[in-house]
Amino acid sequence: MIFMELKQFQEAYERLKRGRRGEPSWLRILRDGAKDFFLRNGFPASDNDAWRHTDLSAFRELPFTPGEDAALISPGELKVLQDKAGKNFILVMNGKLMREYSTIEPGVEVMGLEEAIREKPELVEPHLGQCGASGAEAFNALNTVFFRSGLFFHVPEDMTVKEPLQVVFLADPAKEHATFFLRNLVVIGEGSKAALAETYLSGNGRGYFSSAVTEVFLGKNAILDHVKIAKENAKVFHFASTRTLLRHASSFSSFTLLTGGRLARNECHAVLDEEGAACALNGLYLSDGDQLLDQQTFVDHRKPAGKSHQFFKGLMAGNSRGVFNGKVVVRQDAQKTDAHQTYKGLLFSDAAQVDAQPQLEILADDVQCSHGVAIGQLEEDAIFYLRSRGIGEKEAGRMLAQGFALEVIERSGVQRYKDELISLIDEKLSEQLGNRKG
Amino acid sequence: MLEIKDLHVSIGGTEILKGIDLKVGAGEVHAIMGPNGSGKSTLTRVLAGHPSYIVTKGSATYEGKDLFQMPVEERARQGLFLAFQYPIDIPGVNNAYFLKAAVNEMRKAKGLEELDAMEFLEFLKEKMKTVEMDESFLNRPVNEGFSGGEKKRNEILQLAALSPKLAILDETDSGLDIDALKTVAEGVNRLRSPKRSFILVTHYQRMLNYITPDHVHVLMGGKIVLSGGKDLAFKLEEKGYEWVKQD
Repeated sequence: MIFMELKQFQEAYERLKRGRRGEPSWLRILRDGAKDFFLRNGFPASDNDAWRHTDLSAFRELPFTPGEDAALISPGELKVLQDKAGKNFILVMNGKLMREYSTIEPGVEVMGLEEAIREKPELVEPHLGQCGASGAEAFNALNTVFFRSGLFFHVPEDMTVKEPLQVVFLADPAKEHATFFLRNLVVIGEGSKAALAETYLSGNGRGYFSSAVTEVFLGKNAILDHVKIAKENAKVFHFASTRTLLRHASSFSSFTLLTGGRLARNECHAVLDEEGAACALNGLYLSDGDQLLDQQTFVDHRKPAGKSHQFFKGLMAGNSRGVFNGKVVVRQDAQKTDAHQTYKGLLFSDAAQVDAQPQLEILADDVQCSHGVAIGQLEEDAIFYLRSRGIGEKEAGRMLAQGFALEVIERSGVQRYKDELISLIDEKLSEQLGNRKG
Repeated sequence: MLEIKDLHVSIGGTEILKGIDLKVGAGEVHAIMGPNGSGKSTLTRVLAGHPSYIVTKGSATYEGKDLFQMPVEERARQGLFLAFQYPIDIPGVNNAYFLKAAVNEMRKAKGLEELDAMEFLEFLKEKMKTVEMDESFLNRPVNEGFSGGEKKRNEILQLAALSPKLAILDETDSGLDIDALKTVAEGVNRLRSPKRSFILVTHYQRMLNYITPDHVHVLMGGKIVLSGGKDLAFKLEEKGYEWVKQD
């Protein structure tokens, strides 16, 4: 990771600064702070608890360069994406919001983050980088230093956005080892309701470093339904986080599907900053080949009567590896907290591995908390039962795997995206089972 | 239809079946009775092809073919069906979806066209009447949350839907109350035909009051020690398995 080796890093940063002379001082201060953090700490070492099972050595060996190179996907292909999606579709290509390929409902405030920093500083400055979840961290810091743009989505008070906002983040690099730093900011006003779906796609087969940080701020009684799908190609390194700050009685419900990438690490952070906030974090990853798919969660219960429910599953095939780390902190003030977490892993092959770790830190005394991890393989008896009814061995495995995966969808209440998610899951399952030997 | 010769079967290094000989002709109903641990379930499972059971000696011929050379799904597609004693839960797999897949595999094997969702539902509704199961069972995961009786009826529903040539029922009567037993027995009797054979494995004679067997065999210590007609079942009921040991 040449430019991120310390001596080049400072130079790269200075060059960038010169190109961003118009930026407001508050943003410069934010970036400087992140730069200093990275200079001091660098990448997480292998003994760092949160990174113990996620090996960064392959990533760090590659000569990624900052600044985005863009190849050209044909306008025709982009049009297809736009037409398929229908209402409230946003295309962000190589970090830039492409209005000409987006269909935005009137009254919905969506623009590129770069534009919002200029035009809506009163909405951006108080929120950008202010989520306050789990403190500073290397990839978050890099994103803060290098992001140029991304999505800005604002819903004013007491408004319901009926059509979910579907955003496709498409990366189409001209050369290998490009980097794309995306920062997205979602601000939902008091009493408002919206839904957001983020899909991360690769425009071609080249590998790249994909960094995406989505920050969500929910006002009092606000509701956001969120879906994230990451299906980039098998050479991509995807480091992303969704950081949500929940105010009084607000609600955040998120579902993540990870199928792509050589290494994809997705972090869901939620800070329940005021009383009565609720969050549901659910997700599924399906890995194959040499993939490493890593789901991290961090829920911080700071005030009373908060609810958090987490349900994650992983299906690992081939030589792949699944990682899960679910951290929940219940602070002293957070009485009557209800926090539950479950992770279930299914290993499809003898070589597949999974490392799952729940971490609960409970400082209040009147709470209901639970956590559970279950890892297994396809049940021999279940396969035998299906085969004894004439169903072939491979198909029996597929049925069981599909049943395993679908449980998360059923329990997550993602009715709107159910069909799309099921077809993506089936697609990946076919690959995983197709590659399976014996 | 089925001919078993000197069958020896082991599991986990322990020999359970110690030389079974059995001939089942087309249209015949055979009852296999015996005390617990005699090897009844082992026999049914090895015929169905459960991977944990190893055939150490002997053979089984099904419709002239070497049964033990056929993979599990192939045996089913050739018309062999096992109704399990303890049907397993399959969470996440919808019962209707599973039944449709099984029925269509059978149809494919017979060279028939597969049924689509609507056709399958029509087809199944008929079969469900014969086992007195209502449609709510179709939307649930296979066997999950089913009572013991419901699981057994789900097995008989599959039997009715798949139309096997050789149906093996492993202690289908266990855990059933008299009404449930009557329903199951009626379902089975309706399926009796000159082209279909049954092997009923049972501990108690009770089910044989409702399904009249042509032949009764007593399995003890891994061997068939006695064979007879339906009267043998009554004798066993009266005198118990100890009597057989003495003979």
